[in-house]
Amino acid sequence: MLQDFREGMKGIAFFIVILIIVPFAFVGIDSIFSNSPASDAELEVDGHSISRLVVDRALAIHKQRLLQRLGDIDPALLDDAMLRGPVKERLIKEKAAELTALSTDMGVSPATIASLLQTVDVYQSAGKFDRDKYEFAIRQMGYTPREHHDYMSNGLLLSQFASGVVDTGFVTDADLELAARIFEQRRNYYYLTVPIAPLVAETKVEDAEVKAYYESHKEAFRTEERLAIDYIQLSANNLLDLVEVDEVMVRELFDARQQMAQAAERRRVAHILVEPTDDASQAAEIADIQAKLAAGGDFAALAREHSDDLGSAEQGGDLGFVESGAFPAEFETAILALSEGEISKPVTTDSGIHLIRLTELEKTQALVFEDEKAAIETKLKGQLAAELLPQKIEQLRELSYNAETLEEPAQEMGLVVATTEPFPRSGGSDLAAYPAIVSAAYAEDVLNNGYTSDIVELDDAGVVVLKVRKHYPVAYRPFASVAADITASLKHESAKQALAERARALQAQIANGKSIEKLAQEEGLAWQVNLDTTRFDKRVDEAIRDHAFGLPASSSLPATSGFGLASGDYVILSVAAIHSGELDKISAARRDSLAQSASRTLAQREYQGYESLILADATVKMDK
Amino acid sequence: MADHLSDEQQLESLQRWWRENGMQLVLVIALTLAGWYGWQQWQGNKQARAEMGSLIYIEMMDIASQAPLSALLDVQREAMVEKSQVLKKDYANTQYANYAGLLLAKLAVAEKRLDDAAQELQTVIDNTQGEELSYIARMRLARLEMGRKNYPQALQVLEGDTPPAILASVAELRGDINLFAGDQLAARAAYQSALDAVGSNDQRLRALLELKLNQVLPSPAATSAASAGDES
Repeated sequence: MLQDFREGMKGIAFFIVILIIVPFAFVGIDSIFSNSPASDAELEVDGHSISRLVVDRALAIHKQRLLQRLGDIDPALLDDAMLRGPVKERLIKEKAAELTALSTDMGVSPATIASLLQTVDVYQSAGKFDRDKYEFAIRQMGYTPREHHDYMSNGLLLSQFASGVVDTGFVTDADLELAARIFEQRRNYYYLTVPIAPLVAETKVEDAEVKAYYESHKEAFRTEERLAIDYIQLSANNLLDLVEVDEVMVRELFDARQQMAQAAERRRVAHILVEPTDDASQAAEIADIQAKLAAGGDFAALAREHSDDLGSAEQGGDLGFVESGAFPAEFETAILALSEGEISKPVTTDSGIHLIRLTELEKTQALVFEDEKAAIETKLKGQLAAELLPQKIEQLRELSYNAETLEEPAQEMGLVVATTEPFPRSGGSDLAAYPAIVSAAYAEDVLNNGYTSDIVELDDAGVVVLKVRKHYPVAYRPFASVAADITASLKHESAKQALAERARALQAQIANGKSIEKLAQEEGLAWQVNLDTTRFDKRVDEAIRDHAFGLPASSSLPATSGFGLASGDYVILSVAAIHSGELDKISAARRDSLAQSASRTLAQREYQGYESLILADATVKMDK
Repeated sequence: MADHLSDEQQLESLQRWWRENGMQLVLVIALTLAGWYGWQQWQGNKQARAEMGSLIYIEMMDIASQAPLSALLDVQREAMVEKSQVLKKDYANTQYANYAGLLLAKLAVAEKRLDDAAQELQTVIDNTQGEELSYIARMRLARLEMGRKNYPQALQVLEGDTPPAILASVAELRGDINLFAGDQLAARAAYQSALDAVGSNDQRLRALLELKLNQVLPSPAATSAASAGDES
């Protein structure tokens, strides 16, 4: 029984092994693993995962773009946790769009990707696509060539997918007519202004009222806790005067630079090789060539004729610019001894006997000591100061520990004591902008016991020790200093109520048929008329204009409305006429440009809608 | 247990097994290989077709982006139309065919051939039954019918279910059509539902919808000075 079973098993096992091995032979092992939903999948759209790596990359690119757009913004403000959500949403949308594109037989040809890469400046050297440069650049970005290819392919696919909707949108004359009707609309309106100032002047506020307001709104007059500190700052810059640089050191560094520059010299050479035969004919051939050269024979022509190095013979013996280490030592030594255009004596290597000509010497500019001296000194001083810094920091730590004042250690070390403006616990400007400084200053021992702080390290600004100069605890502004403000604001409030009452009475008169103009004259108020005003007219008061355009276009005219301005003044406004914009009155050129921009905007909205539709139909799993 | 079997016995059992199952095994392997090969071929063909289509599509869109479609040179226009016809014919049932149709509709609108444009859009709609793109094509057709002053047809195109993702756009379009058709009440209701559907973070769209709504709102009751106190 068992025996049969075992034999049967052998058969099945064999069969299974064959089944597994055959596909491997064709596809290779890696393809099985690379597409598997690895454990680091962060998102999943319709069963296709998006890995954490992809999210991280998209996040990094997004941050980079934000930084470019916003300019000088503290990178720390770009909070990953805050940006990650939107980036993930976008990736999901893109994945869903990509899957739709693929399922509707869209694709990207490798030729398209190649021709796109050809056009990118940073991948070029001497105006041509440079594969090494490209691969170096993408590795810098953390891509393998395969990954970058996929990334590009994906981007191109998505742009094709979008352009089919975005670049095919249109509007008809009806849309333009509606736009003209709204955006080219003109309105005539009259308005009068009831000022609040006279009412404020009339208003009386009792002192007791002011006092009561102060008491009941005390929190509004609170001042924050603040702290001013004395500090000593020590960085390598402070130490530059303490270090000495002598001529020998400068000379040494200069020589090293000089050598580097010389090493960068490039030599282009050509050669004629005569391979060893029996000694006599080889030597004879060399002598023959030398004689021809001496008689003014062309090196390139002779190389073509005589050289046994078939690869270079066709190029007139040219070997191109030689890299150090690419040729035997004898050969290279000979090259270095040549001046431009010169031809060497016969040089023997393992390959045979060479005649070498230095065809081109690309010189680098020789360095001049006087020119370099200052820069080298600065650099050396910086280095020495940086080396000295740890020792000085230790000294500062010892001197300031338990010191009564900061003056003493400062004097001893040739440093100065500086003072900050008072700053709150949330931090301030300059030195107080460093969170490390703020927390050191508000630390229990420093704030309450008056101790000197320990060394505070600031990444780019050296180190600091600090001591409290003055502490301003939480307090309330005294009544006397705020009484005037309170009085003014109370007066304004009660004047506003009086104003509203007066405005109501005035508006009742308008409602009874009196014109704005007449009413203003009777009441001695300022009034104004704006005729043919457009929605975006910059020459008129914008708040009043917006209000005039806020009244429904289909109102029966004149339509009257009242509203308060930010200044407190009250406006009563009457719209007398509304003229719809007409498409016919717009020039053909402007009409075309309107149509262009309108269809573009509309098509973009349509594509957003398309994306949302696709997303709504997709199954998305987050945070797996 | 294997130790109990001599080599000969092992060999013999293997041969016996091979006689019984050999043919079957060879057949299964051959079929598997053939199937796998066929699948690869099919995938490869599909991929190659997609790539070819993409090249034609890119060329077509390149021409389309060079000038407003009404200002294309005759040669350009001819080349663009030819490519779009190739896509529609040889790449039928791909997205490229649909996009070619959308572009031809745009061209027809630019050349004031609104009937042809409607025909193109209708073809795209017919080809994309049940796909997301059909909603986009339908909105375009409705907008076109509005441009042709066929208001009832325009509204009819928009009938049927509207997914929430495009509710605001469709409602706005209904508002536009009703406004042109002279039905202020219906336009007002449509714009209002568009405003209700649009998210509060799309300020630009909100502003536009409010302007449109402003066109069809009723006259305000004699203005209330009562609101005076609230503002400022």
